[in-house]
Amino acid sequence: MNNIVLTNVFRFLGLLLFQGLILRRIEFDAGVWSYIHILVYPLFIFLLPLRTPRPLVIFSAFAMGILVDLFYYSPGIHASTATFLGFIRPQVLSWLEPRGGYNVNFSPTRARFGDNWFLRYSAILLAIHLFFYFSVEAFTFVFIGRILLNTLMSFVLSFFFIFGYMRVFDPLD
Amino acid sequence: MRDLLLLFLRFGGVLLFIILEAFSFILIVQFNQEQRAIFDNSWVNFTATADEKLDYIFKFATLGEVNDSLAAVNARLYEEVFLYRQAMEHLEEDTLRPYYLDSLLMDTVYQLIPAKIIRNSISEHHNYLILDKGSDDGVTANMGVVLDNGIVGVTSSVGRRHALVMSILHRQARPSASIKGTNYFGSLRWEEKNTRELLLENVPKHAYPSKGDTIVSSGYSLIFPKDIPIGTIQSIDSSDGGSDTYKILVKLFADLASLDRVYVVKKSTQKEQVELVQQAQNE
Repeated sequence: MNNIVLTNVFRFLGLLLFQGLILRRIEFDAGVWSYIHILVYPLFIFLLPLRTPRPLVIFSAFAMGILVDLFYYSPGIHASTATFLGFIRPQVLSWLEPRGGYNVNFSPTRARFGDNWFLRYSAILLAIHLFFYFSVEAFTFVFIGRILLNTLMSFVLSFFFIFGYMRVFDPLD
Repeated sequence: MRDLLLLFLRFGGVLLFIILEAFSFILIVQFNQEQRAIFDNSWVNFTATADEKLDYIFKFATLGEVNDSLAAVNARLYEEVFLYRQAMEHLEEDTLRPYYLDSLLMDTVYQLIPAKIIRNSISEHHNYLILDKGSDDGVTANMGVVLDNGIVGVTSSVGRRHALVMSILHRQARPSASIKGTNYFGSLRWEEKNTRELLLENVPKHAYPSKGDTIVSSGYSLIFPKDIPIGTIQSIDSSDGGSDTYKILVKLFADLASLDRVYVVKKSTQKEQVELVQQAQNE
């Protein structure tokens, strides 16, 4: 029990610092009218244990978002995105529910549910996260084409990082 | 308390989500230049559109006031029209005599008091109207009540805020009218049948009226200004061979059944004229 909480706290801090201090610097233009963000911190929300109470998921997602915002000087943008992700996570989980149902003592990791399942799970959540993020950043759907393109390009790189993280550390919980 | 806790456990996620999202959006709009600009712009658009819609709705509420002010403006314009008509008449009379408009203006001045009709009857033999203007507004008895295209009646009794008007659709009303362009005149009488038709009596046969001629107020009655259009000749009854006058059926321009706003004619020299007439009668 304590072990899981501690794991998540460390993951929270680690991903926050990695995102805020390192990935923030790797921000580059891809063409004149689009740019790429590499966002890895949502992984923390992906990996929260299945039995975490829903309000706690939402609140810790919000906390992660607002702290990332402090690094990015964009108050509220990451916070609203992460909050939304925490809110939508149970829905995505129910879409991907295995035939036997979930073991609520597990966390939704690659080690527990397999490569294939985790790939789909993280891809859906990451796509939602990035689309929401770029929509809020543009703050209007007038530039929907640009939003979609940014989402797509950022998705490729971010997904590469997230999957790399899972390959390297391969956490059980 | 336990129920409240259960309720929070059940819907707490949604509630927390909404609160945190709202908080985030406030932060975004407060502290991010670009998003703030977009938000402000959208907000301005929204409020401006809403304002426009509300204005459109509330405009109807103020239409009454607008109408009142327009009626006042109309009254001023008609006063001027009556003045110029008089001036024209004098000028046609004798172009050699140096008449100046100023001196004409001193001659007879019509003042029009815009009024609204509160009650109107057309179904009885003795039809009356009630106006929303009375002695406080300068209305007195025996003043003409007119429209731009017709005469309506004569004030009979006047209260402080209201005036009773004897309609021309009244058995005893006999306003005098003439054929436009001539000085032949007769008196109008209501036949108590049709509210849009009056009978013009006592027009001499040598006036040669013809169908379609315009009938205007004669200006002799001291009540109505001259040359207010009243109606057109619909038919001429010449069956009475022994008489030397015609009975002419006049079709009114105005529909007295659906009146809303009228003008009370105040003639500044009326008193004087009435006194002169009375003197002449006494002698």
